[in-house]
Amino acid sequence: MGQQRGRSLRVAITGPTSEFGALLLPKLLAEPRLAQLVTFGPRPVTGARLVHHRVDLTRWDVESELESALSETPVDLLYHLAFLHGRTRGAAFAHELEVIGTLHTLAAAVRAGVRHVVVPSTTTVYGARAGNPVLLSESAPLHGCPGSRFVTDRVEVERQLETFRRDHPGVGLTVLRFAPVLGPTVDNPGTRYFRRPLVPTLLGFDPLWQAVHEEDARELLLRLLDAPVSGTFNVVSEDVLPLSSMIRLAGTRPLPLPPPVARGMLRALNSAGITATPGTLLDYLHYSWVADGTRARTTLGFQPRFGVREAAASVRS
Amino acid sequence: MGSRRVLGNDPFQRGAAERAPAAPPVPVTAEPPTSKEVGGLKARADEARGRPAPPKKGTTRAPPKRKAPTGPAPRADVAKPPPVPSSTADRKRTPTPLPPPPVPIAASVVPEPPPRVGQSPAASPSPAPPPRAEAATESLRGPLADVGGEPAPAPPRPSVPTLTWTPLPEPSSPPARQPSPEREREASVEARDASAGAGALVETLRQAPGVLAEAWSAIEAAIRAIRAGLGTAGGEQLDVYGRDARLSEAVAPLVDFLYSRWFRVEVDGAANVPAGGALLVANHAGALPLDGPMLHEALRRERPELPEARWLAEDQVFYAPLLGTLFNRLGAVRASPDSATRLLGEGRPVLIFPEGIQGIGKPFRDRYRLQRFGRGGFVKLALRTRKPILPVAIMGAEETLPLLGKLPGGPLGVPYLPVTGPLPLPAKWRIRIGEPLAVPPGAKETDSSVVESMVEATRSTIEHMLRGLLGARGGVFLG
Repeated sequence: MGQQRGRSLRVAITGPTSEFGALLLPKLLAEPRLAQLVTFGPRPVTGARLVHHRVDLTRWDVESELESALSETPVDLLYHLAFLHGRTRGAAFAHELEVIGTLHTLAAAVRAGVRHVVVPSTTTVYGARAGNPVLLSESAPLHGCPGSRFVTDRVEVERQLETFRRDHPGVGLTVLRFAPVLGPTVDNPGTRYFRRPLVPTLLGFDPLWQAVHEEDARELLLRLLDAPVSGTFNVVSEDVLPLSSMIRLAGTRPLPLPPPVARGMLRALNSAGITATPGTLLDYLHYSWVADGTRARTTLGFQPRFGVREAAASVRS
Repeated sequence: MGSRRVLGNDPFQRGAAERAPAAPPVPVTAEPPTSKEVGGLKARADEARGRPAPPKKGTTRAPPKRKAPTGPAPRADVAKPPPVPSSTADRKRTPTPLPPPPVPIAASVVPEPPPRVGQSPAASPSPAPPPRAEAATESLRGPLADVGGEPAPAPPRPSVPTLTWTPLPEPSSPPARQPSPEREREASVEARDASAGAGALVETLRQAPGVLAEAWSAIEAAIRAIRAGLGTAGGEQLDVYGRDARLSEAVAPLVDFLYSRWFRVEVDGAANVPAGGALLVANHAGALPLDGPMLHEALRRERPELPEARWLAEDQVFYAPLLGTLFNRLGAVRASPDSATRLLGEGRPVLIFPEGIQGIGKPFRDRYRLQRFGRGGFVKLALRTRKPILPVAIMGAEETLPLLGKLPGGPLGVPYLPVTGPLPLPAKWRIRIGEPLAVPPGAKETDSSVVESMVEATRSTIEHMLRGLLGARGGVFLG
């Protein structure tokens, strides 16, 4: 690629204020080789060499909007980061944004001649199940978590990406399945879980978890600027920790509940409208879901600077 | 004194009484006569038995020999002494009369006669118990010392006597006390968190001699294990399979105790396990499957040079609350071809129980009756990875935790709740590891007839080895 000489990087980001967008944007703007950065999002962002397009990915005509913007200022690499990380504003909206938004973005990218697309995903798409192998490889089936809006939408996005890869072999596509990204600045379901004063767990179970420090996640996203390798990759810590240890390292305490009690309480809270957490999410506290990060290490050269212990401890501040 | 001695009608004592007429003249002290008068009935318990007697003539010598065999039996330290007059049985028989008089009783009874008549008895018992106590402490030191590393082979035999003597250590406390400081250091580490309030009691127990201290550190390890199993105290040094090396170390006293003291596991054929990965296929038993961890421990001790083995646990066990979590931290891996392939690729011996839940869920009356061997997954695995299959027979697990009944386990997410004893019974374990099975040349995992015949071959070999072990067994607890 010709990006090596001078200011040659032409990059686009959807969702610059999302979890990964916020992580990536400052570093990207500080990148000396950046020639042009195009961002698409509902909230404005500013910066040198940055062109922001205010778009709503849930609108039916957003595709042509994206296409014309990308045709005006052509880019080589598109980070599609427009995924929800906070509490949802309703399941229907979330579905529109994540699933349909991805559909629009990919279609626009193809028509505008984008050469490579990077999409973050999560290892929760494998699902926490009794039948999981010790290490889930990238080819493991995506069972997801029936009942969980968050996971189900991500699984659907993955399906679309698979179709896209098949239909458009000419466009590079990197899918990064991140283990829970933890760090002092990120805000996502994982960090919210570990920041509770008492973290509910299931008594008698202590599944193995992985995590990625936000610095490492950012590092990997940036690395793709130089070497955009197509493929699907698990981005995980090399080591694993039992959930209870992660909670302890994160500076809080576990609240172990007998599984029937936990399920009953959750059902009661949900029907009372206090929470909207599907009971199936408890599977992630029950079964291990450990992904094999070998491919990211060998193919992408991903070498996390932080282990799972440091990642868990970084939630503290 | 005399009255206290009338504890039962011991045949041996009665025999002595018959001979009583001859005895009275000899006694020089007041002591012996009184005992005689009180009767042929009296039998100063087994403890004193024989002690006062020897002084008199050779007459007393004869009876012990004749009756000794019957003597120990009623005391029922073990189920069936008579069948095999093996060396162990002999050893047990001789010590039985001797050791009981150890210190405290000897102090109360023998001292009186000894002034002159008792010289020989007094001399003989006192040397006798100390060596035993020392042996006990030494064999104790062994397992404790090797917690971290190589198995210092503790003499397998001494454990049998020690078991029968469990109450004894109290008297022998002086010699046993030496090892306690070292042990204390080790134990205190894991004990610190477990035993907050029990202060004084804990301290006494920890300083207790011999077997008692060992049992106590095993209990402390068990507490630690339970906490890990509950998922409230996870470690920080785990491999991807979920094994926690630190926890394994902390639980070592418990495993050591179960392995070398409680089950007195004997392994035969460990040399058959090749380097570079193998499938060890064993029978499965016990309401809670302890055979996995014990076989794992056996390989660790017998073949320390091999990569650490892992045992595959069926889902029902692997995802049982507490037990599954604990087993996983100690080295269990959920049974799946994928995991097994990975483990074999690392050159590890993989321990497989193809009967799965059927093996541990069968009623006690079906003990040692092999159940269906799954669907032959282990054979396919062996053919695919080109690793040898070694049949393994494990005897003792069936009686350790007999499955007495099943309660519905719905709320806990297990197929059933096993009803069994509160503690594992001290059945004697023997593990026999057979030679690698022959693989037909050119066999493919897709050839179902080959797979089936190899499953059958494995099964019948294990069955054969089991029959052999059971046939040679003297008693469930004696072995």
